[in-house]
Amino acid sequence: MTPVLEAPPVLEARCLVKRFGRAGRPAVNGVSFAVAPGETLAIVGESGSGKSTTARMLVGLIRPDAGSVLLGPDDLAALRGRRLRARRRDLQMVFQDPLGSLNPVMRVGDSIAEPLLLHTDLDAAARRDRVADLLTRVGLRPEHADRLPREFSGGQRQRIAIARAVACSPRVLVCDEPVSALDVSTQAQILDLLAGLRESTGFGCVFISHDLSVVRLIADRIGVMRGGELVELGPAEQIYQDPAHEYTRALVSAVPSLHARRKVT
Amino acid sequence: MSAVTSAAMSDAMSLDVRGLSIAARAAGGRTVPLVTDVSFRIAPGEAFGLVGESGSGKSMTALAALGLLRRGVAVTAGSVRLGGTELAGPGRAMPAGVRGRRIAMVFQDPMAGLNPAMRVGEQIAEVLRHHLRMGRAAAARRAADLLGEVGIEAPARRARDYPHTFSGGMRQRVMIAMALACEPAVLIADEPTTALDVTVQAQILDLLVRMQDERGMALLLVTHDLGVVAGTCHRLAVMYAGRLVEEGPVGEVFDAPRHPYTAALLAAAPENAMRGTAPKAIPGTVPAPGAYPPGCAFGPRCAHARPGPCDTGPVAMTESDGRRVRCARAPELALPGVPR
Repeated sequence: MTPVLEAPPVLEARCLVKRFGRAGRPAVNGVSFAVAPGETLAIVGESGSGKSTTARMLVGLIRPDAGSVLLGPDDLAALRGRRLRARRRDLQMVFQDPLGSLNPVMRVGDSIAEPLLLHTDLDAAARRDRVADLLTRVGLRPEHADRLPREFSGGQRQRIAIARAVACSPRVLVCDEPVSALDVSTQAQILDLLAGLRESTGFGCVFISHDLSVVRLIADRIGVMRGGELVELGPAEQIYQDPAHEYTRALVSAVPSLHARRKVT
Repeated sequence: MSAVTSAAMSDAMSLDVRGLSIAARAAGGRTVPLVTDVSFRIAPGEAFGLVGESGSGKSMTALAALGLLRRGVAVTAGSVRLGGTELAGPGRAMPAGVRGRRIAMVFQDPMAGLNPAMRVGEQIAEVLRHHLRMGRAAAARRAADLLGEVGIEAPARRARDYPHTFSGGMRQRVMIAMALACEPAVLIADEPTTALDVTVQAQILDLLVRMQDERGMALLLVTHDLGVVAGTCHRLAVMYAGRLVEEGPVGEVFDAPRHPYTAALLAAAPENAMRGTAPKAIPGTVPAPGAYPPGCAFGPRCAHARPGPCDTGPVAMTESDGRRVRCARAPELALPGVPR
């Protein structure tokens, strides 16, 4: 599915501000962007840029000091109680460390079924079928449902976390550094999986990363954050080929080249 | 200097890893092999990249050379030598006065290597006073000089600051200054830039290269990142499941790898995306120590595996034109290098 950029956005951040503590500059300072249905927007920045704080505000883990997050027509900050819980179904998150986001004593099938239990009225048998289907779609096997997180490798655990995040067919998936804890040989597997799921289900995706090279093939647009501000936002190709902001240029040129060679002294 | 004495000197100061095997004691008296029969040599002035994914044994190899294997993990065969000194071998402890003086190290997390309650200048001076028996005042002056050499502004003033007042990149510079304090013959850097931002990573790699060029020491760079190796190292070895699978000059290996795992790693590197080539996933997962598959350990993930030649083994490494490879099918394969 190609992103429908002229369609109304599935997710919109409006002038988000978050300050931790009383003094100093805000961690996030006036960040605005919109995500179209089926679009992947990558937010790239170095440590302290505010990218993870932004991600957490998007899904409501942190409440912004100012600004708002719109999920379709709804302002998340204005929702409470049952209506907020209902809307949460449309907005899911994948974290960097899948071991930290999966309950270690819960069978992974039960972890994946939990959102189905909360957000759908599927009965136990239908949930089991759906879990089996989800496991297959993320490249695992239905019988893996009975195992515990520790029995899986890091990449497989991230597949499980992704299966749980997409269980209720969210409209938006926020991924915070989903591959940076993984081995190089498995990173591309997870990126391929996310791209494939986006194709088939059409969710909008916000992909947070410190690594410009990682987002190149999955991002339709890229926003570059520095010091709490979005310093550049544009189509992915333009960010790589013709970056406008000096900092973006520095980021692009700092990615080590596989073609660089040290001279023999 | 004649070629003969130069070669002899180079031997005298080379880091020589020969047939190194390392195992961990597991429950029930079992031993789990972590590193098996690893051999390589790094000459003075040479930068050598040891590349592998998690559990490949690359860090264990480096820790063994430093005599820092944790309790329950031991060298079971082979040796690590620096010139005439044996640093590691079965049942051998690191000789005193070598680590920190002739062989030094920089790790991924600079904060873990620094005492948070001690001024950085004092920490560097402590190394100088312990190993070189320098006096208090001379050590303090030299510590400040070292901070200046690694690119810290106002070094005499910064020497009086505590580690928490430095950024991650600056802390790594402090660690490098401390590692270089005694002019070691070998510097081992284990993922020295993995925890740093990409713009800072480039600066730290430049610093390591410059320090090495100035001092002529041997550098062992342990990393999972082929992009880091490309512009920093002269040669590299690739490890998989506790063994070397390929070794050779960086340019030759990157242009025409001989082991399918090396080729697959080059194709999987995220840096490829910067030139518009999609990184290619390697199917399956890295096997855990103790659970290596029979035959060629990479066989189950290898696009070139064939029943027969790849079922037995692991095969021995073969050597030709200054390159080594461990693959039964290497002579018949023509593998692609880094996409242009």
